Amino acid sequence: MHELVETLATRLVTVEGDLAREFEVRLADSSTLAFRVAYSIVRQKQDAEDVAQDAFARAYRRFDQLRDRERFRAWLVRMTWRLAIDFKRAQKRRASREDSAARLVPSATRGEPDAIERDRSARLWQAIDALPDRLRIVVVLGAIEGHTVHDVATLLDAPEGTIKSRLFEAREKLREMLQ
Amino acid sequence: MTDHHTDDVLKDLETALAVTPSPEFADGVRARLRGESARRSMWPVWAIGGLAAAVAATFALVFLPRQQSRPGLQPPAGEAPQVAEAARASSPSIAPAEQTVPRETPQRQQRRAASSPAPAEPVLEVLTNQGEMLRRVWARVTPSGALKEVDTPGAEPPLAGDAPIVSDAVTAPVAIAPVVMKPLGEGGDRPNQPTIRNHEINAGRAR
Repeated sequence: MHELVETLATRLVTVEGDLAREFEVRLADSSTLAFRVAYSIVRQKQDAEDVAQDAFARAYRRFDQLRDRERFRAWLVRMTWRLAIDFKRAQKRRASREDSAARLVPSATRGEPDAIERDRSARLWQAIDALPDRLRIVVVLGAIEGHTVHDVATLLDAPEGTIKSRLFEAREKLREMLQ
Repeated sequence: MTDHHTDDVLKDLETALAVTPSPEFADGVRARLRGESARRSMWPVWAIGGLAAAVAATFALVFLPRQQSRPGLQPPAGEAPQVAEAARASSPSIAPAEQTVPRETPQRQQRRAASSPAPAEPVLEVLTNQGEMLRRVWARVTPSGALKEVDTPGAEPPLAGDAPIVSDAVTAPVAIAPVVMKPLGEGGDRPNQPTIRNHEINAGRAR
């Protein structure tokens, strides 16, 4: 009986250790992806890190169901996207309550010295933000880490044809907006 | 605007998103996980504490009122209300104690009266010079039926011997013997009294 308990305890510790090691691998592998997805919405490095860290913490809670690499990354991307959207909404509500003087400088352009570059960046994000969510996430994921249509389809758990048509639609809308 | 321009925008997006997290990013994730596991390890303590509080509140609300109704198990005065109050404060969602108290029956009232000390008698005081006081009041009544005011500043001075009524009032305590209710069939008055029946009343009328 004592040996059985000892064996079970050893196995439990081993499983816990394995899970922790696997999670460390996923963390190293996917932290940039999660961070960039968050950054595409919140546009502040510190805020993007907070959101991505929150997403990783949530992923750890159900890591035993997400041990597959592709499944983990897909889940992480979707969770990070949702958390970042929520964060941005809360930020907008806070900003609307605060003094209007604090809102005169757009957060995305702080620290950029060149006015032309700043204007270009502002127009870019304005156009991206104007896209509907289902198109925006496709464009953003396509612009991260050189993802192909297949990669984006895997991350969003959608057929490749759907991703292609969404990319096409997004380009059309961008062209209309930038005319 | 052509596709070329759209491609430029997408390239700009790629450049804008070519950001990397700080080296402390992974440490931040680990710190969050440590905090979370610490919180998770604390839940049994909170659960046991909550359970104990719920059991104590239930005990206080259900069993203490029953004990109060038993003469032999009555707690010292002032203890039960404190416990019930504490229980009510710790679990506001539980029904008040009054709802769980069983209905008072005459037997219970009798037992409780026998076990609990007699309450202090209220002191009653009555006017002993009521006649004098009424006479004085009557002397102040005007022909129109109104009562003349004597203590108002600027009013006409009081008549001779017309001192303020209240200061002259003499009161004395009245002792009232406590009322003892004897139960029926245990030496009470009613069974020993002669019963008047209808036919006896009718016979009396005829006479």
